[in-house]
Amino acid sequence: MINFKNIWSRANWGLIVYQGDTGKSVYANNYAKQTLNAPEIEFCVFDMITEPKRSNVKYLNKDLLTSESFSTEICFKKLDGQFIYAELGTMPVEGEENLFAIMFKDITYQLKLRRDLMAKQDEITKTYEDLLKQNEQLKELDKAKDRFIALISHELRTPLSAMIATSEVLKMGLVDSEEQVKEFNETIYEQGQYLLEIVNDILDFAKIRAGRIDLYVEEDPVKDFLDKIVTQFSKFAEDKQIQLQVTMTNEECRCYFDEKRLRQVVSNVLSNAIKFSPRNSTVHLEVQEDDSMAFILIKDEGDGIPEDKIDAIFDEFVTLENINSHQKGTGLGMPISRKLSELMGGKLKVDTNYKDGACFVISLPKQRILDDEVYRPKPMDGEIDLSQIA
Amino acid sequence: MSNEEVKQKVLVAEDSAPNRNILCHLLKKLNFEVVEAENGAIAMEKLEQNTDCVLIISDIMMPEKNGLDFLEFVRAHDKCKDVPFVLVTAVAEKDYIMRAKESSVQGYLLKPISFDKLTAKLKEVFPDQKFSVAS
Repeated sequence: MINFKNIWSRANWGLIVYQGDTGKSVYANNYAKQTLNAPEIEFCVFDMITEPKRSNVKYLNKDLLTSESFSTEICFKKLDGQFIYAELGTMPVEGEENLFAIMFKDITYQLKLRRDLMAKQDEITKTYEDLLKQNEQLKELDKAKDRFIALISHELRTPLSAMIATSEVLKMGLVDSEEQVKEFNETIYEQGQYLLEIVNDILDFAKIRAGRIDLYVEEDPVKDFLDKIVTQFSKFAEDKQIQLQVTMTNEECRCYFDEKRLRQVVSNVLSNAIKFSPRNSTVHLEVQEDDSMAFILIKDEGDGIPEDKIDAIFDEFVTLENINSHQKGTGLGMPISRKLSELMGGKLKVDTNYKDGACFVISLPKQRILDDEVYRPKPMDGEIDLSQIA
Repeated sequence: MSNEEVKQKVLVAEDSAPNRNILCHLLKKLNFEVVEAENGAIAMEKLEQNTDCVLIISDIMMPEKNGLDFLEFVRAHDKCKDVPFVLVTAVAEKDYIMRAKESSVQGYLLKPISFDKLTAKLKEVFPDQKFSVAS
């Protein structure tokens, strides 16, 4: 005779035999008693039933306990109140009218492990997708850098080629007249100046990106500054019979700016305004202010800028690719001007409400809002101020 | 009967005026007649008006249509598809080079081109001709 009782008492599965009407246990093996924290004496299996709390979990109930069933994952409570998840089967005992049996295995720990594993997997999948996205972005950035270098090298080579080819012609004496010699010399000079402009712009651009632009900011009257620029541009404007008109509601308006850099910005905007103005029109330079900022508005009477193209103006890739072959201004002018305005504590924007042409607005602070060190007098152009060196 | 020699026509497409001027000056010194275009679209128009061009020299980076678009236009043109086409450009991008090769250019020269390079290429394209500078 096989000693089933002995085998069951030491088995790795819980076995409980109980009365179907009262739930009273008549036998429970060691595994069952230990797992359920059950007392030595009899207990009631109905005490294992707990209120269903979560919607995606199967809970032990009286129906299951009085029928034949099998659940791979079912929740109930131990006799000390702790929750337990188990693989559990119930059945009526053959040959007995009121006896049922439960067989179960505690899988609480395995379920927890599985849940943790799935959470980790989700994390990994998300990290992987993030990395893929970052990788795409890096590839784009890399391509963008290559494109930028290609555009810049084209911009540099163009005037350089003109200079070399022209001077070669002069060297070989392949000229027809004194007039032509003068013309070719002029070309070399102009292309050299243009090349210098491009090189300076590229360096500025690189310095801005590296955060290494040195500013020399002083508080100065805007009127004097604008008068100087207007004088500088008068001949250029005259060639197209364009009037430059300055209006200021407050002629005493002062603000903080780096004269050299603001000249760069205003020259850039103004030369574009003149470039895109029809002959015989007026370019207006207006100065306005509020409590904290001064505004220089440059308005032309040209075709204006379509709203969807405004961002592209300040995008170095777009501007370099569309570089005007008449070479008035380099491809980096607008992007640099915008960054310089921001470095001075202001902004360079396009006023989209102005419909009679294009209107650029340069804003500058009327208070000291930048790092203390930038508020210092500027060095002389073309000369290093040795007195500034410790 | 006219004693005037008929000069061979070259179409030059280049958006940078100083570069275009100097190239045209050299070509004229080499006894060519020059048709100038400052962008790809104008180059196409001028070609239609001058289908007797014996050579096309074109930049790549130009507004409107670029030199490669112009090249493909020429290669698809029923009168001018076999006209020798030389690219003169500051850009040596792989994509451009591939496109140029696919449309069989007779040269992909990098700027700045020296007088010697120009005459060497002309000798390559017109092996039976002598090129000397008219004084």
